[in-house]
Amino acid sequence: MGPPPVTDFDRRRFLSGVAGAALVSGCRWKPDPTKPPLPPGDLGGPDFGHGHRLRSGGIQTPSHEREVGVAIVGAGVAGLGCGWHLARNHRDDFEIFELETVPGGNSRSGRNRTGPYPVGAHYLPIPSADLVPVRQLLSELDVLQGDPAAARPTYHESHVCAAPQERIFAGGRWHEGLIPDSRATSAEREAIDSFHLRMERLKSARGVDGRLAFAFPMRESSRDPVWTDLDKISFKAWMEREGFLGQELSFHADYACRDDYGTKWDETSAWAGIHYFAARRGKAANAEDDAYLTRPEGNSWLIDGLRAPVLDKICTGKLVFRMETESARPFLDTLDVATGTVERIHAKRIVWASPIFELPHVWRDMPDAALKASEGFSHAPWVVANLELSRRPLELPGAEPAWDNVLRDSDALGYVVATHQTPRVIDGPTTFTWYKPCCQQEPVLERSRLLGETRESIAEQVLSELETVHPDIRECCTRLDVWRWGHAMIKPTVGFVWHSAREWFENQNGQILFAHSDLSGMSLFEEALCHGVRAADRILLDKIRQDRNLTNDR
Amino acid sequence: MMRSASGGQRIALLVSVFVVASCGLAYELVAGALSSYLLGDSVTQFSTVIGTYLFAMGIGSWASKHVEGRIADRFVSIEVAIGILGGFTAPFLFWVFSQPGAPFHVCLYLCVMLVGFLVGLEIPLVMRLLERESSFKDLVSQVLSLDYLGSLAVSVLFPLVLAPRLGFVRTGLLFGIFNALVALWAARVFKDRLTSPRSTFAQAFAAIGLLVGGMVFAGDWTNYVESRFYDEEIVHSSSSPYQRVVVTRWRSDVRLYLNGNLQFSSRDEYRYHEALVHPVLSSHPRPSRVLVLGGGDGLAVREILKHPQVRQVTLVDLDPTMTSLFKTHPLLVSLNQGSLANQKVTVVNADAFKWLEDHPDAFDVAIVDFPDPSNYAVGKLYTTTFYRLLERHLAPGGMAAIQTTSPLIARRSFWTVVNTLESVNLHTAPYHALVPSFGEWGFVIATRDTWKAPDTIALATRFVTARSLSTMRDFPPDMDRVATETNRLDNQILVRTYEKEWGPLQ
Repeated sequence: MGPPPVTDFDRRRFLSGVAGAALVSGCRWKPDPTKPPLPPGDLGGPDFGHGHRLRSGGIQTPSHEREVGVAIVGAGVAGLGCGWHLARNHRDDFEIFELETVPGGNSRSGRNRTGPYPVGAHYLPIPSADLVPVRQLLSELDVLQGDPAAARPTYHESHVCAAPQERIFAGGRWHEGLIPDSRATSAEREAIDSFHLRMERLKSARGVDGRLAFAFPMRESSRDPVWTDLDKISFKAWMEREGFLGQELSFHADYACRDDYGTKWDETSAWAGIHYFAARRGKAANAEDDAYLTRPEGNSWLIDGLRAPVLDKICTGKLVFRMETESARPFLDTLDVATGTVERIHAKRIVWASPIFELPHVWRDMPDAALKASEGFSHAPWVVANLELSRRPLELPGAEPAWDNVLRDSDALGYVVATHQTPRVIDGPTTFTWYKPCCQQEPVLERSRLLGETRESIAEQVLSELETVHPDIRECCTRLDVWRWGHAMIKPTVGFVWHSAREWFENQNGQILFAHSDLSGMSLFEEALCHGVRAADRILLDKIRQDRNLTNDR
Repeated sequence: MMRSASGGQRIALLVSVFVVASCGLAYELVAGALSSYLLGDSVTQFSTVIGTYLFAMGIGSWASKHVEGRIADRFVSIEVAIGILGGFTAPFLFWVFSQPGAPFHVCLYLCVMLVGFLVGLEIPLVMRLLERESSFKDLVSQVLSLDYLGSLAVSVLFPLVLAPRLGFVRTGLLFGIFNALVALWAARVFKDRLTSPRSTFAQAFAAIGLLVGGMVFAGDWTNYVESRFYDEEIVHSSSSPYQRVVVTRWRSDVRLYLNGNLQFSSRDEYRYHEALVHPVLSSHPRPSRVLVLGGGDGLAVREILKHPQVRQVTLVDLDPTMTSLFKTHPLLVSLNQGSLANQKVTVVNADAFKWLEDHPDAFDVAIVDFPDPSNYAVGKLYTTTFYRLLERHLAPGGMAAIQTTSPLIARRSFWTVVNTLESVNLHTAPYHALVPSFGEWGFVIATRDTWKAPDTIALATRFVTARSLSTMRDFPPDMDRVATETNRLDNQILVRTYEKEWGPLQ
C-alpha cells in the first residue's frame, strides 16, 4: 500500500544484480516455433523510472511554494484512509501526494475485454468488531448492512465470496479446499485437525496484560513475552516443535505465509504465521466465519470507498523527492512528473504513508535513530499476471472450478477467477489472475531477476504452468498482462514483528507521523487502514487540544 | 493312428466333446443374454434366440450327412470357424447396437443361425470320427451324456461366474479360444488323416491369436461401445456445449436423459408436469403472463397452455439444442403437443440468472423446472440470491412453483429449498406427488402472501385434482419438515446435502 515503491538498492548493486541475473538465468525467452504465438499484453507495474530519479540527483529547486495543514505522502490504503478519516471529521486542510496516476497502491485494478481484474490485493476477510474503521468503511459502502458494531452483521451477498471458495490441484486431480485431505495419511489428518483446533483456541488466547495474543490490528496484541517471543523463531520451527507435521500440512502452512506475506514459512516469524490463522474472528449473520469479501476488481472497490470523500484532495503524478521535518517550517519538495514543475509544500504536519525503505532517499534531515530503524524493513517482490480468456479452459478431473485455484507443486500461488462473483450457470469469457511471490532467494536478488524478465518470458512461464491443469489454455488466452511489483509487501521475517525498529516509527507523533502497513510488519488492508486512521486521530486530537488551550487562554 | 487309439487318447477325445458342448451352450447363452440386455424383455429375447439356435443346430446336424471324406479336415475347420464366429459374436453385436440405424435384429439372428448351424455339424462329425473306436451304443451314450454335462457346467457357471466376472464379450471370446484349442488338439491327434497338416495348424494358431488379442482389447472395446448406448433404443443423441442430450424409446416409452440422468419418462411425465403446473396456475385468479425457467422439453408449457387465461409464455432455457430438438423432432413434438411452436410461446436461450438480471419483465406465474442441484453451477439456481431475483420478477399477486427433488430420498435437500425460500421472506406451500419413474417427488409454491389452494382444478387432468392436492400437501413422518441452514451462494450447502443424500443411490 502507499505510493508504488521505487527500488531500494543503489545503481552499482542494481547493475551487478541485473548482470548476475542474466548470467544465472541464461535462458532469455525466445519464440518456440512448436508453440502457438504468445497472446498480446502489456508489462505494467509501479513507476520505476521516476522512482530512480530520486537517486539520480539534479532535480531543480522549487519554482514556487505553498502551505497546507497536513501533507499525506502516498495514496495507498493508509494514505487514503488517513484522508478519509480526516474528511469524515470535517477537516479539509490536507492534501495527498501520489507518484502514480491512479491512487490505490496494492489495491489497484485493471480492465480488459472481459471486465475488471485485480493487479494486487484481492480479498478482505470479514472483519471482527475490533476493526472499527474497516467495519465503518464497509457500512458506508453499504456492503455491511445494519449496525456496523453488531457481533454478526449482514453482508451484501454479491461481495461474499461464492462457493466453492478454494480448490487445490495435487496428484493429477483437483481437491476441494486448500488441503487435499484424501492424500493425507491418517496420522497427517490427525495433525491437521489438531492444528486447526489449536488455532481455534489461540483465537481467544490472552497475555498477562489481558490483551488478545493475536489481535487485529496487531498493535492491540498482548506484549506478554509468552506470545511475543514467538517472533524469535520461524513458523516452520514452531510447527515442528509443536508436532504439526506432515507433507500436506507443511505445504499448507508455507502456502499461507507465501500467500499473505510473500515470505516462505522458514523465514516467517512464527508470531506472524499464527496471526494468519488465529487473528481473524469476523462473524456474519449470512456468511461462514472464515468468509472473504471479494469482487471481480479485487480490492479496488474498497479504494473507491476511501477515495470518495477526498477526491479533490489527491494530487497524482507527484513525486515527493525531498523532505525536511526538523526545521522550523517542515516541507516537501514535489516534482510533477508530467510537467517537470517542482513545488515546495510547507506543512504543519506530514503523514508519511509510503514504504519505509524510501525514506533515506527523501528525508534530508533523517535522524540517526530513524535511519537505523529503517534498515530492518525488507519487501517481497511479486508478479501478477492477468489472463483474458475467450472461454473457460478445459478442466482436469476432480473438484469444480473455485474462486481460488491453488497448484500444489508450484512456487506460484495459483489463480483467482475474476468472474467468480457473477452468478452464472455457465461461465463465459473470464479473467484468471495468477500470483507469484518471489521469495525463493533474497529479495534483492529476486528483484533484479524480476527486472531482467520481459513480459514474454513471464507470460511463457505462466502459460506453461497453467497448461498442466488447463491443457488448452493457450488456445483461449486472448491477452496476457503482466504486473511486476518490486516491493509488493513487507516481510514479517523472524525477529522483525516485535522489533523496536517497527515501533519506533509507530510512536512518532511530532511534525512527522507514519502510517503504513510496513509498521505492522504485515501487508494487510486492515493494518494499513488502521494506521491511516490512527494518524488522522492523532492530528484531530491535537487540534482539539489546541482549540481547548485557545479557549482557556481567552 | 486312431485305428489303435489308446485309452488315454480316447478319454481326451471325449473331454473335447465336453468342451465343444460347453462352447455351444455358451454362445447360445451369450446371445440370449446380450439381446435381453440390449433390447429388454428377456423372455422374448431368450425364447427367440434359443429357438433360432436350436433350429439352426438341427439344420447343421441334418447337413452333416453331406460332409463326405476328409472328416478330420472338416472337423478342425469347423472348430476354428465356430471359435472365431462364436467368439466375436458378442463384440460384433455390441458394436452394431451402438450404430444408430444399424439392423441389429438381422445381425443378431444371422449370428445365432450361423453359430447354431456350425455347432449342429460338430457333434455328428465327432461321432463319426469316433465311430471306428466304439460300438454305436457306447458312442451315443458317452457323447450325448458329455454333451449334456458340458451344457450343465456352462449353464451353472454363466450366470454365477462368467457373466458377472468376465462380461458377455470376454465370455464369448474365452469359449472361442476353447473351441480353437480343441481344433489345435484335434489337428495334432488326427495329423495323419489331414491333407495338409501345416495349413491346418496355421489356421488353428491364427484363430487362437486372434481370440487372445480380442480378450486383451475386450475392456477397451466394451467401454467404447457401452459409452455409446443406453438400455433403450436411441432415438436421438447429441452433445451441446452444455450437456449430452439423449432421447431413447422402448416400445411406447420415450425417455430423455441429460448427461445420463433421466429427465422424464413419457409413461408418467404427466404426473410430474401436472403437479408442477396446475396447482399454482389454478390458484392464480388471472394467470396471464407465465415464465418458465428450464423445462426446454416443452412439457410444462404443454400443461400451461391448457389454461385459457394464459396469454403469453416465456420459456428461458440455457440450451438451444434442447429447445430446437423439442420444437422439431416429430416424436418429441407429439409428446409436448407442439407447445414450443405455439404463438403464445416465446423461447429464449439464455442463462436464467443473467436473463433475470437483464430483463425487468414481471410475471403472474413462474414455473421453475431446473435440473436437480447436483453441482455448484446448477446449485446457484437454488440460492437466496436467485430467489430474491426471482421474487423481483413476480407481478403483484405473483406466484412461483419450483421442482424440488425427492422429499423421500433427499429429505434435507427438499426442506433446505423450502427454508431458503422462507429466508427471503416468501411464503411457501410444499407438496409432493408420486411419479413412478422418479419416485416420490417434491414441489414448492412460493408467494408473497399465504398461498390458498384452488377450490377446483377446472381441467381434464389425469392426475392432479383439488381433492388429491390436499393429500399431496400432507407430509407423512418419513418426509416431514426438518430444520436446515439456508442455501446461499457462499455456502452452497444444498449441493453438499444433495450429494450426501443421492450419492449412495447413483
